[in-house]
Amino acid sequence: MFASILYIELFKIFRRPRTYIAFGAIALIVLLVQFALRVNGTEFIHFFTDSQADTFEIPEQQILNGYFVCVAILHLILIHVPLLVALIAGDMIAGEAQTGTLRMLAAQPTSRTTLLLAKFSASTVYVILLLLWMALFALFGSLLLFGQEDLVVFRETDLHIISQHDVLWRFIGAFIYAALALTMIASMALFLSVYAENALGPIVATVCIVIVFTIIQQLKVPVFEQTINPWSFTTHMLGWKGFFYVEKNAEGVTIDGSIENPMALLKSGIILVGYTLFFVSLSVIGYRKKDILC
Amino acid sequence: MLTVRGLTKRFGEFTAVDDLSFTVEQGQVYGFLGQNGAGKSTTIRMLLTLIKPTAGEITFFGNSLEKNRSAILSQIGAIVEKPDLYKYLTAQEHLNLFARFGGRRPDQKRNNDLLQQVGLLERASSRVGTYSQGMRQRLALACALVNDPKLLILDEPTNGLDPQGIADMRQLIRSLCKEQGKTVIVSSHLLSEIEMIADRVLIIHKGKKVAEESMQSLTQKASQLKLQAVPEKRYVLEAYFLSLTGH
Repeated sequence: MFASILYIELFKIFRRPRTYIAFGAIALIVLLVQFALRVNGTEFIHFFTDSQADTFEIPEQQILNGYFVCVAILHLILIHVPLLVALIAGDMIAGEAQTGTLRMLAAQPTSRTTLLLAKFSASTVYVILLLLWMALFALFGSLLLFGQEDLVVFRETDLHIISQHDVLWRFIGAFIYAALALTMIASMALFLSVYAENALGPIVATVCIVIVFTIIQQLKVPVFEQTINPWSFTTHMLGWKGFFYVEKNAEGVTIDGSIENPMALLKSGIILVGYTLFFVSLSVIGYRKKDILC
Repeated sequence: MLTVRGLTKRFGEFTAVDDLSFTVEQGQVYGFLGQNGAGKSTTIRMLLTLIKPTAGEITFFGNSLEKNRSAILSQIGAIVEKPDLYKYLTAQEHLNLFARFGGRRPDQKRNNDLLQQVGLLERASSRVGTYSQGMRQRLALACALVNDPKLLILDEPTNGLDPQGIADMRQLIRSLCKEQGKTVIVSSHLLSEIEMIADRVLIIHKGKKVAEESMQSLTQKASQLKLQAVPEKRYVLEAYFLSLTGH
């Protein structure tokens, strides 16, 4: 039964024109960034690396390769993708309540828990497809346009050079991690959707929550750094960067296949999964008790 | 088929349905009447588990609705208030969707038969967003029928239909009952429509039951009461309803 309901939910998502806005937006942004880098790559490297590139003697052509462009694109747009996820997940229950289809749905011989879990799973599939789409354009598109070289990762006063043979699995890890983070956003939007009868409310609320916590995180003041930030989902959403921070040996050479702090990455992943389970559980409880009056 | 005992729903201080009890027998067309706000839709929503009763018990086919929700709902087709459907899907896609909800594989031939029955076969591939209110109403009925339910619960099924559509709907309801043995609960504000199709009626007012009668006994009672403005039989229900609800 669950598979049937999941099929129905996915069918509804992908029959709606608005679903493709997110796919179109991602393709457009990625193509724009790639075009800009093709035309003004040098200026972008200075902007992106806070002019650190000048302090290291690496030829610009070597820095500006497909892998570097993909990391840059992830930095630029991954923080905005929650909005696109909220558009679908926030609409899941509240949108159906608004259009009146929720009462038709809730009168079917499917338990409310099954229905809600199917909706959550459909949102997760949407997130994964969105990220695969992004990977197609941002990673494979960039490799086609800019070629393949070692990846240079700039950090405050340091830089890591990752061998091109050691990069692909890191991107796969980063995209899987991003899927975890965006699924967490989907669960939050779904939770808000259960308690609303207008689709706009949970979508806007989700985006506002992400903005507020991002600002708190960026303030970097001790009061928030010690209390909120260690547990804030926005802190852990950026954990994907950890796949590109590598260990160095005594000679300062990066070690292939290593991650600088795998435990921090694991901890962030666990926190995101924890948030997801928390919001999904609250959504199930709320939806089971909900009187459908709309 | 359906037994309701002491059904009550309160929203805070407001009692929408108050200790309502009634029984619907198999193969009947059961009319459900009441003014706007009388508690008809709230009752129907409780029958379909859209809202939880504050008190009372609902039994379908001899089984408690609370304990056997999925099994019971798989034997019920329903239209609740105005038929809000997915505007971006076609009629065929709606029927496939509802078949899957009922655990069935979509069946093109059955879909076409149903769409023929409700007069939508020619528009089967059009998006619902292009349908009139009446067409949506007819599609909602086809969706309610797709899993061959034993019981149909139709809340205002003639809303938005033109006179021919109303007559067709009336004929369809009667034939579902008489030829296919289905039980139909119809709520409507069109008293003359109910009078023409119902075997039995329940009248509720301010959440309480004020009458539950067979149409035959109701006609007799009305004539005994010497109700005014009853020039012919088709107005009996209207006159009786108004006398009971204080008008």
